[in-house]
Amino acid sequence: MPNSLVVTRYRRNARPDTTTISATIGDFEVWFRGRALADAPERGDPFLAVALLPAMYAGIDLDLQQLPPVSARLFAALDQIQEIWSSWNPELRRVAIQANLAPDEHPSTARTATFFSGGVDAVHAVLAGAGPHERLVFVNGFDFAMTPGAWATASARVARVAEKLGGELETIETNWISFTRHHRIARSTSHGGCLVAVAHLMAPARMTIASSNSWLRLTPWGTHPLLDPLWSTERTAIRHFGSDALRSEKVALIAARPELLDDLWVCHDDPLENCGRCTKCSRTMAVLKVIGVSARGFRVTEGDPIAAYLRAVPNSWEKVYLGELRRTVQLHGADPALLRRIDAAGRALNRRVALRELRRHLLPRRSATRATTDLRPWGLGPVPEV
Amino acid sequence: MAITISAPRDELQPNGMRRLSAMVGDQLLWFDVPADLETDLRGEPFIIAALLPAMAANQPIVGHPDLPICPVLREGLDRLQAIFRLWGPMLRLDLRPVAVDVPLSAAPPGRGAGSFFSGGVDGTHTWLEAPEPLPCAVFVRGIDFQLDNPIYDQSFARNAAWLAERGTTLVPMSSNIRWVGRAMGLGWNSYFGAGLGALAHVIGFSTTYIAAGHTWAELWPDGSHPATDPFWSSETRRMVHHGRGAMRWQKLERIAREPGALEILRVCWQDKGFNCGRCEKCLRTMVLLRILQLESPNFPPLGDLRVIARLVPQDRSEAAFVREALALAKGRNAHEVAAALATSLRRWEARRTIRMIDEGFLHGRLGQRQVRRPMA
Repeated sequence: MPNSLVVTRYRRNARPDTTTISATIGDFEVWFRGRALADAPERGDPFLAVALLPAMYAGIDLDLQQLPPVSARLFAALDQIQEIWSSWNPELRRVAIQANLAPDEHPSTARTATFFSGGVDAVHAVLAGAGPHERLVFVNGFDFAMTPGAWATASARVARVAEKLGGELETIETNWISFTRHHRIARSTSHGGCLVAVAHLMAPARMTIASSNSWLRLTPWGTHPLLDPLWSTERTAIRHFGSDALRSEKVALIAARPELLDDLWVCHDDPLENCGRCTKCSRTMAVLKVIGVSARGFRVTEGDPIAAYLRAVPNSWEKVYLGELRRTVQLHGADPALLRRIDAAGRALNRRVALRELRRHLLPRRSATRATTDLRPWGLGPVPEV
Repeated sequence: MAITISAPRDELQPNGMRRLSAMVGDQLLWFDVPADLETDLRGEPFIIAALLPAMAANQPIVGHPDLPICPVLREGLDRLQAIFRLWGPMLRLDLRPVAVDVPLSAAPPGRGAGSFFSGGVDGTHTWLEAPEPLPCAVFVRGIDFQLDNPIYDQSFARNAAWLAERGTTLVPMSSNIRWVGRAMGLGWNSYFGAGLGALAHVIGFSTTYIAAGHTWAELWPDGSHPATDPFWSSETRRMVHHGRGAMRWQKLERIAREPGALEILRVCWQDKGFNCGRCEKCLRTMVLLRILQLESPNFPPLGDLRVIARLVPQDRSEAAFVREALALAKGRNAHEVAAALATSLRRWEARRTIRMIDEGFLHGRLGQRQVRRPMA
C-alpha cells in the first residue's frame, strides 16, 4: 500500500473542436473532454474533487503538489467535507492533503450553469432557478458510459429539452465512471466528485447541482445540500438546488409545460428512453395521472399507472415518495378511494418491512445482508435513519 | 387573523436585570439580561419566535413599526419556511408558509463570538473546540431549567468560575421563550432552534456557536439543525451549528481532558437536583462515563446495569445514542455494559417492528403511543 495517493501528469490537449484535460490519480488517468473546456483554468481543484474519496477509502494521504494550485477557500473547507464523509461512512478516514494553494480569483469565464440530464430534477432546477442564458451541461461517463450511438441519441434528446428551456447545451465526456469502479466506490457515493470536477473545469460563476431529494431525505449521498456548497472556490459557487420541492411538485411544475414531457428522461434502467416499468418511471407516471396530465414520453402507457406504481412499491425507499403521492392527491381533489389505495400500499410496505425486521431478529444468520463490493454512501450497514 | 408583534418594552426589573419584551400574538415574550449588557430592542428575537407558531396556525406575521429586522434574516425566514414546510409532518406539525410583514433595517454590530453554555456535554465540547476563542458564553434560565429552579444559581456559579479561569465571561439570562412556544403549540424539540436563535439575537454575539446534539449521520428533521440554524442569522449576528463531527462519547472524552469539566457536568432536564441519575439523559451519560472509565461527582455510580437494559428508547434520537454507546462498549471490551445496551436496543427495534405490524396488519388499532419525537 503506498503512503499517499499522488496525482501527477496534469495534461491539457487542445484541438479546434474539443479540449481534453487529464491527470493521473495513482495509476489511473482520469480525463474530461469537451468544447466547453477550451477556457478551463489551470487548476488542481477538479482532480482534488475526484481523488478525495479514493484517498479517504484507502486511508492514505492525498498529494496534489505536482498539479496546478488548488483554491485556498476550497482547501479550507476540506476539513468539514472530510468530517461529513467520515461521519456518514466510517470506512472513509480523514487524510492529510498536500497541495499548492492559491485563491482562484480570476473572473469566471462564463455565466451560470446547471448540470442537465433532461430529468425531473434538472428540468425543475432550470425552470425554477436558472439565470438568463443558463448553460446546461450534459456529461457522458457520469450516469452511464454510453456508446457513441447511444450518446448521440441521448444528447439529441437532451438538446431538444434544452432548446425548449432556452438554455445552451454543453456536452462533456469523461472516463470518471471507470475510475470510481476501479476504486470500488459506488457511484451513489462518489458522483459529487465528478460533478464538482466538471464545475471547476468549466468555471462558471455558479454551477448548480439539481437535488435528488427534498429536505425530507438527507440520507448520505454523493451530492447533498449540506456538502455541495463546501466545494465552492473563489471563482465558482457550487449550488445545490431544488430541495425545497417534493418530487411530485417538480413534476407538476414541469407538466405545466406539456411539451417538456416529450423528452423528459426519468428512467432508472434505460439511458435512452423511459421504459414505463421501473419504479422511477411508474412513480412519475402516477404523479402525472393524479395531476391530470398525459404521460407523454413513456414507452408503456397502457393500464393504470397509479395501480402499477402502487403494486411496484418495493422497498422502504418508496415510503417518502408514497407520502408525496398522497400529498399530491390531497391537493388535487383528495379522491377518497385513491387515498385508501395509497394507504393500503403503505400498509403493504410496512408489512414487508416488519416481516423483514422479524426475520432479522429471529433468524439473524439467514438474514445477514450480503456485503456489497462497492462502497455505499453509508458503508456496509443498513441505510441510516435520517 | 395574524400573529402581531406589539407592545415592545425595555424595562429595568426589581432584580436589577433588564427586561426586553413584546407581545407575540397574545403571548408575552420576555428576555432578561444584565442591565449593563449592550443590546438593542429590535424585532429579530420576536419575529424568530413567531415564525413556527405562525406557520402552525397558518397566520401571517405582522411586525411592529419600531422593531425592524435585518434584511438578511428576512431572506432567511423564507428559506426556513421552505424547509420547515416539508419537515412539518415529521415533527407532528402542520406547517404552512405564511406572509411576514415586518420593517427592515440594518442590523447593529455584533459583540464578539460566544456560545450557549450550561455545563452539559454538547455545550462544553463546543466551547472547547470552537474554531476561535470565545470571550463570552451565556447560560439561560428557562431553557434547561424551570424558571423557578434554585439549582440554576448553583450551576451558574460553578460554570462561571470554571469559564472565568479560562478567560470566558458567563452571562446570565432568563427567558420564557420555551413556554411561549409551548403555549403556541410548539414542543421544545421542534422549537429550540428558533428559541436559541431568538436568544442569540438578544445577547448579540457576532457569531453564536450552537452546539449540535447529533452527528452528520443523524440528519433527521429537528428544531436545531445544520440546514436551518444558519438562516436565523442576520448580517452581523451569525448562527453557526457546531459539533456534528463528534459522537457523544468523543465529546465526553474531550471534556474529560479539561481539568474540572467533569465536576461541572450537568445534563439533566428533570429539575430534580443537579442530575437525577434516573432519566434517559442521565443514564445515557452515566453509561458512557462507565465505558470510558471516567467519573463525575455529579452522577451516582451506575451500579446495576439492569436499569440500562430496561431502558426503552422513545425515538430514533434516543436509539441513536444507545447504538453509539453499544458500539463503544464493544470496542472497549465492556461486555456487561454492551449486553445491557444490546437489550435496550432490541426493545427499541421490537417497538418499531410492533408498530409496523400494527400499521401493516392491524390498521393502527394497537393505538398510537405518546412519543416525544416521531419514530422513523
